[in-house]
Amino acid sequence: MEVVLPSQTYDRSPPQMSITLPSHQFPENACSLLHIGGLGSAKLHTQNSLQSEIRRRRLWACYLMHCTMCENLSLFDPVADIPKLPLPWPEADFEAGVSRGPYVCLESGGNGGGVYAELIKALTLWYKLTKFGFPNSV
Amino acid sequence: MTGIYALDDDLTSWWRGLRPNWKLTTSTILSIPADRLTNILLINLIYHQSICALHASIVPLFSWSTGDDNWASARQASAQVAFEHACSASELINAAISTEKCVLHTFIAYAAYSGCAIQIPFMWCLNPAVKERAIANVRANTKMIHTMAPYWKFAALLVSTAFLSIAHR
Repeated sequence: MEVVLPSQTYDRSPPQMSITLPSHQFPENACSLLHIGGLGSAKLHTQNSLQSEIRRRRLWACYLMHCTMCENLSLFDPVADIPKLPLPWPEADFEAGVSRGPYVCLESGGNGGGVYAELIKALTLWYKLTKFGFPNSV
Repeated sequence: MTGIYALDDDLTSWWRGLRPNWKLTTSTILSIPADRLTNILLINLIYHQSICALHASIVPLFSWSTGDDNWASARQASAQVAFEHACSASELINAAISTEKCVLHTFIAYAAYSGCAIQIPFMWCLNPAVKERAIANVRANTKMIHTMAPYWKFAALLVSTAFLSIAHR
């Protein structure tokens, strides 16, 4: 049995939907919305407000779709500096609407984030792995 | 090979720093709230799948590669690592299914499919314990792929291939 990547196998067509989009259009659409909506000025990227956190969470959701589908992450370059962007707050902080600790980002490392932050770290490593030049196909 | 071990180090280092209560076992999975289960299971399966993909890449039986005699001992060690992580992933998948909570995600089904690729050859193993474990794990993985089938067209093909493998053993 040959092992293939999810981007080669994913084709979502829920029976309740009247329009079926090709799989590659999901991250593309998400990225287009992100480019239009943006994150605001660079100053807002690391702002410790709930509104900025919600905007970042939308960006991270789009980022995760790209990592899962092994899409090109350079599409995010005009929107934000991904390695330096704060990872999502821990779930308890998000539920409370306030961040109670220093933020962590992909570049800084640290384990102060929540499940969402760990998921981003995990899929970033997966993405790195899929872009690695294996001696044989994976 | 250096690149493979460097990536393995990155994964291991991240995994070591992960909170212990997010490293699932077949018993702790029951205590995870339904709204967190998909993401926490996903974190665990990304880890197992990454290690599997990394190490299976140099094992001809798992990746259908041509192999390289220069790496004979590394290949043997990698085969064992890939097999163990594929088994761990299947056991988590089986435990997740038994909770009857919804854990749908493309990557979960993908990890289940990849786990089949590694474990199917062991369904014909002469050691009865290894053979039974492989059959149970492939069955669990197939069930997970089947659950994803309405949202993932290719899953239907994977299910029929895996069921055929079980039927013909």
